[in-house]
Amino acid sequence: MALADRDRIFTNVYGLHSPGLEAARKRGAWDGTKFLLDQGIDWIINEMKASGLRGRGGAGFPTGLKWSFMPKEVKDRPHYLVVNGDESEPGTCKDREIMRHDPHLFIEGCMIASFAMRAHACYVYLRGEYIAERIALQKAVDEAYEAKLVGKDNVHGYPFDIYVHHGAGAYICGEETALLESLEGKKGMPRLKPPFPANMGLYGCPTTVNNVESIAVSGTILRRGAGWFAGLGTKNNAGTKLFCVSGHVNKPCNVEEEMGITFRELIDRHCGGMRGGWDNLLCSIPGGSSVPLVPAEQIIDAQMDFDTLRGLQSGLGTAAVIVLDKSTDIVRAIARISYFYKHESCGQCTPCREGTGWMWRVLSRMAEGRAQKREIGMLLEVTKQVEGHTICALGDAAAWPIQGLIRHFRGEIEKRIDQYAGNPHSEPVLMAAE
Amino acid sequence: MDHEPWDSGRARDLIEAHAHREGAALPILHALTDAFGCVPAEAIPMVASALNWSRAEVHGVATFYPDFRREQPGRHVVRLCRSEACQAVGAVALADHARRRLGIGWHETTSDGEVTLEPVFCLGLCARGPSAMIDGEPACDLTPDTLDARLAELRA
Amino acid sequence: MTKIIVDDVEVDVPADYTLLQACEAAGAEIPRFCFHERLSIAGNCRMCLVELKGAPKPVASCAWGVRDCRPGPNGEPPTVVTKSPMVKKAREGVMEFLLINHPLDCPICDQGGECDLQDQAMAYGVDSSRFHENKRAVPDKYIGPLVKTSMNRCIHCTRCIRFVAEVAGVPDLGATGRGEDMEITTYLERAMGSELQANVADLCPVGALTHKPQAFNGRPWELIKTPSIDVMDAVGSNIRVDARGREVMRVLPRVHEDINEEWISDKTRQHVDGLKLQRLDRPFLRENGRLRPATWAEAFAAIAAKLKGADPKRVGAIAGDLAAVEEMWALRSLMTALGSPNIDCRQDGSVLSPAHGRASYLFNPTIAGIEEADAVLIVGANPRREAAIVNARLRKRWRIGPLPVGVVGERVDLTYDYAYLGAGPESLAQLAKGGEFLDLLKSAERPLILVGAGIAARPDGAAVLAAVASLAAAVGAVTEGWNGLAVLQNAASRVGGLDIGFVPGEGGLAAPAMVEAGALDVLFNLGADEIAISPGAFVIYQGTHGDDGAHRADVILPGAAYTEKSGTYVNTEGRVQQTNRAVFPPGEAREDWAILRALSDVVGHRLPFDSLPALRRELHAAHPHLAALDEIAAGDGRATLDAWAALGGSASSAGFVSPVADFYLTNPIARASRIMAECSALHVTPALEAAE
Repeated sequence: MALADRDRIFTNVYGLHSPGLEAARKRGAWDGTKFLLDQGIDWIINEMKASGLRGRGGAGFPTGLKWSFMPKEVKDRPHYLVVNGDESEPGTCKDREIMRHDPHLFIEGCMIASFAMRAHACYVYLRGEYIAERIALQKAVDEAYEAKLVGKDNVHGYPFDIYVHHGAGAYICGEETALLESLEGKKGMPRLKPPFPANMGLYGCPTTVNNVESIAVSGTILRRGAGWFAGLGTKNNAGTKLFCVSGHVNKPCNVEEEMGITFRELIDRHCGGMRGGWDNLLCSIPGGSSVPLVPAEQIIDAQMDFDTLRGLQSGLGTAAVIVLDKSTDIVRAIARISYFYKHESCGQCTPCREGTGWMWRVLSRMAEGRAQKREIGMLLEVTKQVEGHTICALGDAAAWPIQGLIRHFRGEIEKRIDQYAGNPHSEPVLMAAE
Repeated sequence: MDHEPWDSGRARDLIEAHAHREGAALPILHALTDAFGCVPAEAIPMVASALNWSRAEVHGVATFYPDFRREQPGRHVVRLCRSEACQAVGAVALADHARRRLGIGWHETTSDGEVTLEPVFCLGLCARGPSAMIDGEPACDLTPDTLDARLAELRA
Repeated sequence: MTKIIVDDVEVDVPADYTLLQACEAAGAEIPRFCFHERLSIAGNCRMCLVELKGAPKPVASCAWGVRDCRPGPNGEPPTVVTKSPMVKKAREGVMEFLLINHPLDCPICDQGGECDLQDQAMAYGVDSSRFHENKRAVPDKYIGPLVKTSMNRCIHCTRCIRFVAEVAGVPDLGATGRGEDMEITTYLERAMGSELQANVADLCPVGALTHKPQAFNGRPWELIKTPSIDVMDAVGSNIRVDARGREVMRVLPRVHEDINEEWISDKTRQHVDGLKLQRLDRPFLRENGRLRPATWAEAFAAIAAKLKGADPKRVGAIAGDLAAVEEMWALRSLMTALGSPNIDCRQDGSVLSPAHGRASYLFNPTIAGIEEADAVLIVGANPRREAAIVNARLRKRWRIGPLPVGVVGERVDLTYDYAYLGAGPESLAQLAKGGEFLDLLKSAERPLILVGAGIAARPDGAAVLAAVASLAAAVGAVTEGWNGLAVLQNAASRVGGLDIGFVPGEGGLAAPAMVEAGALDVLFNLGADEIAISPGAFVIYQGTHGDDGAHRADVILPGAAYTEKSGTYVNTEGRVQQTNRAVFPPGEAREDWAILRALSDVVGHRLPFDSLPALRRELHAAHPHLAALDEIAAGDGRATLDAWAALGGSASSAGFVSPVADFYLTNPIARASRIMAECSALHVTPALEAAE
């Protein structure tokens, strides 16, 4: 099975057409938006629930349900929609294409989602590195204001403002409460939950934080009906999804596909196949760097959806599929990911602040083989001490890749330790500190 | 991309332009970085008084975000992606090459003040690695040769 | 109230409790580092994790509200487990993380013996380390002369940052960087600018911040701990005096919710080296213009000789700011026996007087009552310098909710926002005529008018008090159940002295008149070092330090400092408290009441008590309220307003100036202290630059 072109939501993901308003309208954006809004909040939320859309930011929480958590009436505090465009998870590069090439679909989604949660203002937080994306999105926002599609007094009769903000190079700001802190101008340190943003979010007001892709697909879902979207994909994993395939495939790419497509089909159909053939596949990190790797034999025919990958003790995450072939030094690769999380830990809470550095140091010794075998078990235990004990999920994200490595490549680490022990004078492999 | 020399009047203008906004700290620090290439130490008390924050708070925020440098970088900033998708397609060799060619380490600037080299984690160009951002422009499918060519262009 | 089950014990707690509080209510002990009752919740140390049934992960009990818990499927109360294997494992994990980069230099760490980390490690630590990497090294920071940093030991609980930002209200401490590179620092390595700064070292759960003056001085278990009362200002902060042998090693706060909560000012804490320096440890006698060591008998004989035949009208006594009620009572009795009406405990020349009623010199709303005030007017006081703890309470009130504060007096940084209404009596008059702030005061239910004791010491003090009284009456500061007239005293002895009537009798001279040239033949100076005595009179100085009073003395009688005697002090609220003897007075110095009792014998007017209890029996018979420790005998506010309103005179145009020019050097003990001198030299508080 493969996604038919008529079922694609993002028809300009490769930027072959103009991202401008006129061209976007031809592709369907802003079509009947007023009609959708006129159906009322309950209808929109019920459609979103019925579509089975699960959040595209990584955790896969049902989007319609999330919208429904907002207070039913606006009291003394305004409601806000905040869109998380802090796309910093290594391997992930889907939101940028939406913002560059299909920004109007996204802006329309912001309007619909804001309406559904009684918000009149929407903040889009882009990561600091996305300079071109910021310019492109701002341009589209200006166009939308110009055309009175958004703004205080717009053709839809629902006052709505959209602001584009950008971060400054801190991965942790992709965590929803850290993002709110950063939007408020503070350090991006995650907040304690509860209270949840739906009660106390941006400036203490009810707020929902959604991923760019989740928002961008909402207009099309409502236009074509929940049934259409729910009919795509697999049970409980409905719809289409942007996959970002990178690594050792012949043609790395971004592609919108149906949820539940098998790994093999995804690579063969869209990426020109595996570099060196399927026998050369070592493993894949199927959902961005924070999810545990899945070895070749398990991933190769697995369906790419939330539940299947969870069953493989990994996750779909952001659907950033990093493919690694047998030339990969997998221990070093994971050590590098480990360094990333150590580098991006905000330092607020103990297990993450202390644990990420410890894990990275042990793992980089293991990459050289300069370790004891009993330290493998110890490292695993340390990951368990971090996991679930931190304020936000960065602790988990730092622990999982290592758990995946030890689960599937313990032998590789042991082999390396043996080699080092057998050749104690070998030059250590240095890793430059960054 | 020449950065302006420190000018407290200019800094005051930049700060005042954003100080009225909600969550003004990041926009102000961005504006300072755009103008001066960094957040100069002299600016911190000014930001603090504009936001009615303590200097320690401003300093804390400025040091929390890697994009806010403390010192002016070289005329050109080259940020090489260090994350896994790019590593898988040769980013390590590229980084080694860049450091050797420029004769500097991470976060350092060439002695002629032309190029600063910084690591970055994932530019979202994973499908076209190894990737980099050169003076704010993304660069893809880099090889040591193409990187050299870009560097030569910069210095020209 | 909400029901919750903690370790099989069902308790009923208020819904706004945190799980940590609920667990404690149920008798379960929860370890913590970052959590502190008086600071905001950070939730970052993760030591207080507990298991909440139904939650997928352990939760931080300090940050999780009881109302955030969901009931069980059949409506059972939420269930918390604090002793499960999951909880134990989680805490052990956190403890290990805290220790991997902690230096474990306990043998040379001053926190050793009173370290939370050490204590918790006994419960949750293991005996060996699995961490074989290099430990993190963090450069130490300079944050002032009072707090020593050993940043390697820091566990990033951020208590210090929260204290400085929330309680002390200064912008000096923050965290820079992130992740494992996060560091606590003052911006630009400057000394902190708060007079409460040393409290951060008490708050620090590890040895990262310790008290610099006490570095490497001793171990907590060597110290004898004596509960006592501070006399550095009129707040009466509750303290603990820790002594080793004959030496006071340090002063720590004791909790008193109504006074100092658990903070003390830096002067209260770090004047202790002044207790050892410049001490008068034997009597002295002036001969041929020079003071020479003498015996007690010689000194007494010289005094007796001077008093013999002296006209009682030309004999007087002044009590200083550190005198306890007991010695003032003894001195007053002696002067009465001598027939002299010239006594005064107001060396600053204040017109505050018991004649105007007890409410006329008390901080009537009480310190804790500040939290109930809904508008504050500060007249002629700098509470930050005169009573740092009171100022902290004002800030606390200001932080709780909107609090209009107005200031007539010096324009200084008080750590909270206020409306500046002008400098002196004219501005006060202007305010009384009308305007926005007057309306705020009038519309307030419980307006608090904070009157600096300094304004009563001005030449036009009476006129200013009259103006304050009419303003207070106009805004309804004194009503049934609320007396918002708050006189902020700055001398520890003052309220006690006024209580026992240590003021001039019929036809007697007040302090400023007594020290005029030719006014007296014999002046008994009980530790008044802040008043200049003109040449002429024969001066007997009884005190502790070789300060100004001793230099102008003809006879010196060495007395006991407040740590060396049991003395009654009445704080600015009128609260009666007692110090306890932690060490003995140095050398031949003696307790002050005993000196006076012995002297009375020599001069032929033996006082009728042989012991401190006997003295107190007499004192309490005359002033029963002094027997009720930790109690406040309220005065009659309306009577005071009437009495003040009747005072006349015209006010000058001079602006109000705080009597405390230098927070660190207000009394002979503090002036003898090197640490206080260093703080003073750094001008840590004084200039009070504009808020940043």
